[in-house]
Amino acid sequence: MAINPSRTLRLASELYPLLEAMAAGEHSLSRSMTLSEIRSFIDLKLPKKDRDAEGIVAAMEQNGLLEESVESDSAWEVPHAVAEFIRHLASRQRLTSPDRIVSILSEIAMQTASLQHAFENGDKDAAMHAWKNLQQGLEDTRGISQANHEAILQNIMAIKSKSDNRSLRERFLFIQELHSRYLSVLGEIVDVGGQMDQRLSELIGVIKHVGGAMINEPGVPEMSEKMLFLIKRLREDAWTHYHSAMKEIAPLFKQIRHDHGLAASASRVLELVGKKGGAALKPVVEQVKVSKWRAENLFSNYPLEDYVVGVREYSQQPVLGPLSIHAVEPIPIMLDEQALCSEIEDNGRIPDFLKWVFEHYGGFDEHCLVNAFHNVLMMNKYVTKVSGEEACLDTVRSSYYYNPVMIKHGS
Amino acid sequence: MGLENLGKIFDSLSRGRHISYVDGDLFESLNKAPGEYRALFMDLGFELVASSRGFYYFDGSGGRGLSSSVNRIALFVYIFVEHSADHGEGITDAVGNGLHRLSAMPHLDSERYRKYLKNVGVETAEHLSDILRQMDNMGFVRKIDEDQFRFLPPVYRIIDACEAVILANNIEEEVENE
Repeated sequence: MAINPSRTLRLASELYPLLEAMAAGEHSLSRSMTLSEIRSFIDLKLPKKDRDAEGIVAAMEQNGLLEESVESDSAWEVPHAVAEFIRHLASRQRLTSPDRIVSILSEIAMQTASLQHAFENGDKDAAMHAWKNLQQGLEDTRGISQANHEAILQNIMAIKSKSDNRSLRERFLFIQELHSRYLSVLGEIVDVGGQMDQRLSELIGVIKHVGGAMINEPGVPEMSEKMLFLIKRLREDAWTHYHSAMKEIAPLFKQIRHDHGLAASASRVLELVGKKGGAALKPVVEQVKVSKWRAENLFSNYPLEDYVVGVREYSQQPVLGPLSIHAVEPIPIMLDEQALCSEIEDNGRIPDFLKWVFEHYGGFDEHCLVNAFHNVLMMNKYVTKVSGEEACLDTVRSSYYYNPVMIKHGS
Repeated sequence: MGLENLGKIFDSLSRGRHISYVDGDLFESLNKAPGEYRALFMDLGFELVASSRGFYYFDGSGGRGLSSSVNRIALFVYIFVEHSADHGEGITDAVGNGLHRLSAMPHLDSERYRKYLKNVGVETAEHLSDILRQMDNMGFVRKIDEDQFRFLPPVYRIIDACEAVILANNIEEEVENE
């Protein structure tokens, strides 16, 4: 039956996860799948409505995407040409380790030595054999560079759009690996003086200097010219791919590393709060000091108060009174109830108002604090609720037994 | 030329507000002559701090009675940061651009978070509303309505203070080990 290519590609697109798994051959050594294996796979990967295994196998077979396995009539495998195509597409989404480039570069070094040897001996067949291997090596290296570049861009887009479904920590580890295992290593390879630069310079040297001996052989000048073009293109492409990937990844890496640092610090602080309670947050309070000053306090500013008093008592010819020393009772500093109200409003809800007043205004006289407590409650300005459970508050002078009053700003 | 909006700026800053771009004219006025405001406030005994993150505040070394507020705000923010990271949100994005709902916050949903918050007396949704209101007053967030809010640049004062906690704890542990 004739195959309709567009229908085949459409079907391949619909069943790509199955096709990719079968082409990769990761499910078994034989690269074939039985009907029950295909059924289990599609149960996991395909939408419920598309889970007719027999129908899928039949459609794939009709469209040239599957063929019966040589090992069994009840197993299927992806034809070689289709598998190659699928693997080629899949490699564009996956990162290839720079080690793979290093091994190809070693092969290029070996073939360069073979080419030099062939030139020196005037052996055209050996030279042609080395040419072919070198051409393959150069194209493979360029292909890996391009595929890696595309895979990196794809991963970056997934991170940016948050479709990677990773937590920030996972994302940080991923991008760190991408940066350190792929890009940094790739940079060392493609940079000036790097492994690739050295191998390609050696090859250029052989082509230009040693190859001169065979310049009159038919086909050699064309081959030399083509090889120099391939080297130039590889250098330019690898350099461009590397720098373009770096340009994309560097700001993202920086931001994710920064965010990850913040999140790790926040988690550590929460862990400390879990262990030590609210006391663990004391350094935050010390660092984030918030101004709290009100105009009502202006005249408690001593220098200004002295100045005002001085002006009031000024006289041009002061009458000097008798010198005497009185034992003066210190005047207790009064708590500014207006400031107290503002603090209540800032706090929103205070579960035990009396305890709070004593804790927050420790420098004031106890009478003054109890008065302020009483006066604020008498204002009927706030919502209050008396607790049914008795509490005790020990101060330097007294012990207070009371039912805590919750006070809250608002209705 | 006199300093613009001097009274309003002083009133806001002295009440503990952090002035950022959302404060419109006040922020613009400060941006025009930060040095002059700083010198004037210095004479009055206040230190105007201009953060490189784009906001102004008074250093509150003499602040009193705000420790419990800052504790609660810090814990609120740290839980938000951890939860966002666990759900794949970038902190810079979440803090810088996101519109958030108080009702969708994770603080009271998880037993672990409830336990942390209990340490600073926060146990109900009403308490969380109070924290948000305080943050709004201090310029750490901008409330859009009773539920929706955005973080503002000054919240980085709280986030950056994480390091202080970790440093203090490390010193404490070193002393204990010696």
